[in-house]
Amino acid sequence: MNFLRGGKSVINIYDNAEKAMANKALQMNLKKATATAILKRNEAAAISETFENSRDAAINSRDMSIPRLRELLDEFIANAEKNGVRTFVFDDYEGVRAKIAQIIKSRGADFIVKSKSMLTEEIELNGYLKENGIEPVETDLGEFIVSIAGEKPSHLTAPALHKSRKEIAKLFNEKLGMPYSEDVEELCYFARRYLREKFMNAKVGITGANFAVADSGLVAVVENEANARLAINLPKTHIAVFGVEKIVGKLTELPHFLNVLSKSATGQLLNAYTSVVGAPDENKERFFIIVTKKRFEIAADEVFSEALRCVRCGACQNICPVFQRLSGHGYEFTYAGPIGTVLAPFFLGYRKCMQLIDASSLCGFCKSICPMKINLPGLILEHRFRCGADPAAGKTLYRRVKKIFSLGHSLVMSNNYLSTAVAPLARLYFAAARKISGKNYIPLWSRFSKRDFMGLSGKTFMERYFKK
Amino acid sequence: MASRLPLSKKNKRFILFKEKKQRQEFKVKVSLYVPCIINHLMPESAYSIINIFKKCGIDFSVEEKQLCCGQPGYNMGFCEHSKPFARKFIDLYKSVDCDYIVVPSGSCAAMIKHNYPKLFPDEDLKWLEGRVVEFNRFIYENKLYLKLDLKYKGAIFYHKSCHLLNEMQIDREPKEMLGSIKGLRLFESESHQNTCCGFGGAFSAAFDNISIDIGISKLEFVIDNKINNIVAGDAGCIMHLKGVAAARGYKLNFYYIADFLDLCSN
Repeated sequence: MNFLRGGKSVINIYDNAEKAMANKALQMNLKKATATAILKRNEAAAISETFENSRDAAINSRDMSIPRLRELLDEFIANAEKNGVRTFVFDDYEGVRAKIAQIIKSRGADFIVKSKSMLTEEIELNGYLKENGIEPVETDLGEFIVSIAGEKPSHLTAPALHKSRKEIAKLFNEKLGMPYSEDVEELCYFARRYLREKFMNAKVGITGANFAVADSGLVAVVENEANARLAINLPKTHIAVFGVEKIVGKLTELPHFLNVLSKSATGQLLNAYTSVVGAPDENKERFFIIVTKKRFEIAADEVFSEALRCVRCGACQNICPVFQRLSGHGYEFTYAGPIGTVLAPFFLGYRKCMQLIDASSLCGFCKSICPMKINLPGLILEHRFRCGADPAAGKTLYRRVKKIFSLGHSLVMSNNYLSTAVAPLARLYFAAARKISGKNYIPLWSRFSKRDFMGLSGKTFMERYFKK
Repeated sequence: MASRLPLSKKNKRFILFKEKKQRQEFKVKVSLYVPCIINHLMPESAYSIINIFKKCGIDFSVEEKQLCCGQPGYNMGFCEHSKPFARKFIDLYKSVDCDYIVVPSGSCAAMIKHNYPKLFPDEDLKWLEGRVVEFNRFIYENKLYLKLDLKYKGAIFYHKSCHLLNEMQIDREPKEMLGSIKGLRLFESESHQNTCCGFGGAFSAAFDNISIDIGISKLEFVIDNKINNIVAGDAGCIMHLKGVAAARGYKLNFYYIADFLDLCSN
């Protein structure tokens, strides 16, 4: 069946789901964690009087800023430089990685502390730094757990969502030599002590940014563990790396985003710590490194520009029934869930994402929960339209088989004579299928009898009503 | 409670006039669109709808030449293949003499209302927006369910079908209709547990593993709450859930919402 599913060069969602669903512990963790997150989010949204207003204001702000992203980037750079922050813009991952490594090396650091950054996952910074003899230390608990396990984050805001307490206890025991304990407090305290020491000795701290403000050259980092605060303030050098889509026009628009983000992500009325940083302190230095890869292309796209509204809250992932089974790793892309499905084809190409864009029932819950009201199912559907026109993906067997099904349906069912002839033929088929297997078996759909087909009615409504 | 004030003659006349006017307003002509799944698999559901129409005294008709709405091709990503369906639907219903086209399916209604205008951007298809109405909304907004004298003894689980809920924003309508049934205990999943049933058209064949697993979770949730009856707002959900339940040996009854309303009105 693999050749029908697009061969080896696609992200094989089908097999990944099979693997993930066989792991019962993972399924339990995922379902529990995602349901709790949505419950909290709904409660927070329900009691907040400002949520809906902020939602509209934030959407409005993004819709104003996305079309003039280039202008805002220039404005941001000018204001940041005025504050004494050195800024660099890169369009390719190689350039960013090299620049960061060069800064770290020139400051004589052999390890760095890192907090709150999905972008460094996107550019695969950790691997690159390790190759260059620099140890990257993840300081946010979830990322810390994932990094010592040698894995990748599986969720935007809860990177270790897929790991249970027991697994973490075992991991700490094996990798860090902590006496085995499943007590959450003890585990946290151990991680804290381990990381505090790293913070105290770090020469360079790297963080991401949730928002960057163009009119004042400031960067905002939103968190609950206060690690970004330490990574920003303790080391002599602070580097903030982020995508250009994080730029917000005015400082006055920022509170709306913070309001919306904390409620959607963790269901808190406001997150514990928000650092807004600009000019570096005395004897310290700060760098803003901005990545533009594919962002301008998406911003210029008539349909997909709304995907850049995303504030990376992870609510669409929590509510997605496919994500709840596949887990973040199954997507094989930095950003998982519905928003990942929308972004992936831009970064990986349609050929690789053929299965990914089909792996959605288009149920639309992501659209209704998205704080920025991104039409995620609509955008996934738009990818399906465009995939056919893509030279690499459109001519694959996978797409061709789909096309034959679709065309067959179109030719037969859109014809008055043929569509009435279908029912008797189908009844013949099911009569034969019942004789052989005892069931209304449909290949592909019945999945080796894990789902029965209810069968056709003896006569269709049209046949009965018009008495044929 | 305040005692009812005696009505003045003028008021009485006004109320009678209002009632008469309301009765006149029910004189709408309706054309019933029968979605493929109902046509081929559950024709009884179409008859339930017809029964409801008859009980409410609604003048209805069915077009013999109607076809599929073209959603499968569209959702698979081949909008060219759904154009012939849209063309034929538009040409057929343009000339049909009716006030409303009642579509008893959230996803078909969404396809017709939201996507047909996208397929033919040069045409003026605003009449679709006004005339095409989903079954639940039609019954609810015209308060027809109040005429049915609904009674039922027992508990049901109402599955909010996704396209009905998220694309057509029909949430309150079925809930209030079911809530008005005397003697019924209505269960539904809370918003954080509310998910798709897993059907999703071609998705259910291409990703049968995920699709079936979503269906199992849905059914287990119902069974955990010790309910035997499931009412769903879309026939596709029933087709899929019924299949999963049958393969796992769950003894559950499934009703399309019109079936259930018809059942309760006897």
